[in-house]
Amino acid sequence: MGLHTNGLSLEVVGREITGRPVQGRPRRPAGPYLLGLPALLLSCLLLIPIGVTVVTAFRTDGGFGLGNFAVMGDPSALHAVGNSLLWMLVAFGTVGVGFLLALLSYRLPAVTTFLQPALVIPFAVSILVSGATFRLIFDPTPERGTITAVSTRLFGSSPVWLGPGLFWLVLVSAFGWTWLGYVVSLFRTGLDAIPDDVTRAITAEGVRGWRRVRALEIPLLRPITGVITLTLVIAAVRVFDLVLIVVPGSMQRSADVLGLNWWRATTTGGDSGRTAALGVVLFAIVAAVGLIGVRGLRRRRWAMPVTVVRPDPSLARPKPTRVVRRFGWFIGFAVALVWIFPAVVLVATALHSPREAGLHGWWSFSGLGFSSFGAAANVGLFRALLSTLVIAAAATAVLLVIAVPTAYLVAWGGLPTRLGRIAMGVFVVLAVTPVQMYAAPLRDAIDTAGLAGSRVALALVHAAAGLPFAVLLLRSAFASAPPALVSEALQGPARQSAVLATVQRTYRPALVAVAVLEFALVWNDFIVGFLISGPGTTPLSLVLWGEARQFSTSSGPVAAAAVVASVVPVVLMLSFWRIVVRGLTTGSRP
Amino acid sequence: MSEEKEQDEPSRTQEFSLAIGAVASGLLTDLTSQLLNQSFGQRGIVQWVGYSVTGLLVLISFLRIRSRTRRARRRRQQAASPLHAAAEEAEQWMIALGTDAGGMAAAEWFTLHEDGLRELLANEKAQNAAVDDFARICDALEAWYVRRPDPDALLQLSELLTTTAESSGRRGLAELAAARAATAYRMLGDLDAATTRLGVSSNIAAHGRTAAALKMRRQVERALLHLARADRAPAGSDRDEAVLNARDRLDDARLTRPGPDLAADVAIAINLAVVHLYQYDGEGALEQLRPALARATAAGDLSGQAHALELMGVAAWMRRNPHEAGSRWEHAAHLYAEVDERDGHARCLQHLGSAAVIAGDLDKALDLLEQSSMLRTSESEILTKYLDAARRTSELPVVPDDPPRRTPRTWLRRALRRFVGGLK
Repeated sequence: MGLHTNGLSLEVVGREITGRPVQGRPRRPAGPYLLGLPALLLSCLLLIPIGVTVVTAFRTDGGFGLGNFAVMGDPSALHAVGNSLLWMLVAFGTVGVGFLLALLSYRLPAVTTFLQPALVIPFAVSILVSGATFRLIFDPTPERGTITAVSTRLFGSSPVWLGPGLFWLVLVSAFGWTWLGYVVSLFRTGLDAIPDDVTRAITAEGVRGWRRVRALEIPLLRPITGVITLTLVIAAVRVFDLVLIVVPGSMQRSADVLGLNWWRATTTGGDSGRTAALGVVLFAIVAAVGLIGVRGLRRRRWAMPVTVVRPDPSLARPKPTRVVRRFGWFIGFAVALVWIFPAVVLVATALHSPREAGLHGWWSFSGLGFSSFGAAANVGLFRALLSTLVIAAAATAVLLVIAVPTAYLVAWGGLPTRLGRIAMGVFVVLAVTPVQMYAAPLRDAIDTAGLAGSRVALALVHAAAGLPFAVLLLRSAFASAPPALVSEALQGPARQSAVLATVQRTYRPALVAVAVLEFALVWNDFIVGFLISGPGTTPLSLVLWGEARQFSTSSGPVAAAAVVASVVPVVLMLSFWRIVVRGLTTGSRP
Repeated sequence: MSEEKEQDEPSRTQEFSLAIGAVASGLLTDLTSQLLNQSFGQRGIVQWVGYSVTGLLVLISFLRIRSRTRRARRRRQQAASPLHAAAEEAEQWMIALGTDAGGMAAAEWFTLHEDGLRELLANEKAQNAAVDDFARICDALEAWYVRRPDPDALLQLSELLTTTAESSGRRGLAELAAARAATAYRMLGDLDAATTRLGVSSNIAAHGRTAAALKMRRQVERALLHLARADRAPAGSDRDEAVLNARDRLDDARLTRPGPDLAADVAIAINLAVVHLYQYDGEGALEQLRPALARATAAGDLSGQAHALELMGVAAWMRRNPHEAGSRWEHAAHLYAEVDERDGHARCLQHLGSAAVIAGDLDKALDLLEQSSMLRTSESEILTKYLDAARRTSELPVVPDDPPRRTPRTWLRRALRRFVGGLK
């Protein structure tokens, strides 16, 4: 009984609240709302054009109506919708394969040694580069295309890989090559976060093999599976540049996806209402996927389980025996070799002279040299490099300055619950919005403002497009602060900086992840620059694309440009990959 | 009556501005549509929107004025009833209770009139508007019974209020009555019944204008329940857990507190200080108590002031500063006496007396402790223990040493705060 202190028992009583209940609502400090102002202004860059597009889509000659959506009855549009749905299946397949690979590397830890970097490199290079690489590999002439050459040697003849129907194989392998590294790394982090004692306990119960995967790993990985599936499905629905570069022009109609269909309608001068309707349909699909996917991933559940106490090393998983380790290395090495092969092809092609690269495959020894790089430099590669650097750096800086306070506001600024949820919903929808949704009005606005070809405008658009994802990621990092401290900070005694200090362990990796991913994304970007900027900015990918139009004659310079363009993101990703993954799965490690 | 007039003031200005707004928007719409007509030859949507806004404003102000006149008429009818008069008076005294403006007189008034008020409530079959008066009397009596404290009477009162609320279909009142019953059960020591009642209260929670206040009240009551559990548990993990739970509830309460409720602010801060004291964090307790004391002083709330001072004394004792503790307790005892809050007064005398027992001044201790036991309304184990020691009938009570309380987190936080403060 009582409170014993300093040699005395004291009776301490609390205080009740009595009398008539006071009318009114909780008062929240208004200051933090200012933190969201820059984000609001930046988001307007997207929100207003999106609004314009939606209005255009619903406006017909005789007022408002659904007349424009008749465009969906068009067979080519229907075909595009079907292809987009197929791409979603491809995304699910990639997630499944990635999960199996992650499981393999978890059971055989030695696999990771070689496999990890090999998987990261494709994720770092742009879709355009991976598309160009796969086009090189699958080239229909046996003198140049690796796969064609191999199958001709083996079976005497070879199908035309880039022909009708078969180009899907090329497309899917390019997509999988790019994304599998991301999937495997995230799943692997999730698997590593499963406490060993749980695994051991469930194994001791006699639950092994597939039953263990179903009983333990799949349910525990559900949140992270949600994040991964969401990313991949959205990437699949937004596929645009891959088809543009891989599929030869004559067959592009049959490979049509919604984004491409939209682009063709705008460039051929179609009715703006109809193209807007196409954009809205694409947007509706993606937004629905995004909202459904994120619904289950509210604040607490997005974060991985946090290990508070570092586990006793003697209780950790036993190190595999030497033989198993050797075996793991071997498998890892073999898979890594296969995985790195497209990059080898790319570099080898770049090291041939333009003429030789056009005539022979990457394996021939004639015409080795740096003349392809010289040819690429002649078409303005280095100016584009500089331009891209400026744009990417500016976009990343603007993004960080604006996203951090906004994420803090959303996580702990004391927003009313409903407003917070609405803000999150808007961010999720914005994060998945396809560029087609705002490209046309934004380009018109930039042209009208006389900013066509301005790097600043492009950087701002990039920052605005990256903002929602950055806020979502940083918010889940901030959300790991103890609630008691936060409520103190909101109401008085503690300072907000104290809250920041407690979450720095989780928000620093998230910050690095945001910065690295945004930089790489802007660096590799094709679609925003292609659809929005004028000719003056010349980012790298536009130069690449311009060259790739005459693919068969200019494969040397294209490969050289692709190599140069990929060096920076690959180095960046390889050096920060561990932190990036940690930031993406906030708080999975102590 | 003065309060109601004050309530009327803003609504009258609102209606006035609504009417002005209606006229202004009508005129503006007319002007704009004329201009548009001159320059474009069409008025279209602007005129439509403008006139509908005007119509809406007119409608709203008409409805408001009508309801106000109705309210006024009803009030005139009510003013005659004895229940209304009693409610008015009781509310005035409730406000005075525990303050420097007539705290003593209020206590006296309640002692004299509580029976009369109870009788009035018991005989009244409150209907419609009279339920409000009924509830106001209940509010006043609750404040008094909690202050006294008289849990049995509080329980009966809450049951009376429950019946009335159910017969008149007021969910908000039933919610409040259940929360009060929980307080009564906690004071009686039946913590499980208290928890059940709180559950009942939150199950029937309504979405009225007092929703936030009631939610906060339940959170505070839950925190007090956890503290009562901590008080019963022996030192150890059960106790620590109960204290942490209390802390969580209080943090929630702080976030749901309705803006104008200053008394609740003081109460929450004081309860947080109690949490810190249970965690042997005297400095943390002081950090809560200083603002609480300042707020209570500014509001003229002598009772809250005294409570804060009492706990400041405990914190000073915890920090091995017996001299400061003694003077704080004396000050608190004085303030409690000024508002005739006997239990608080008795507690302070008990602190002083037991401190005197430790110091070896047994005569002074006996004097203080006997005074304390005369003032008390309930038995206290601790008081009996020290009284026996002062009467030399038993040994000095042995108290375990304070546990080490420098948990890394609080230490880190404080170091950080010092660091940040140094940057300013």
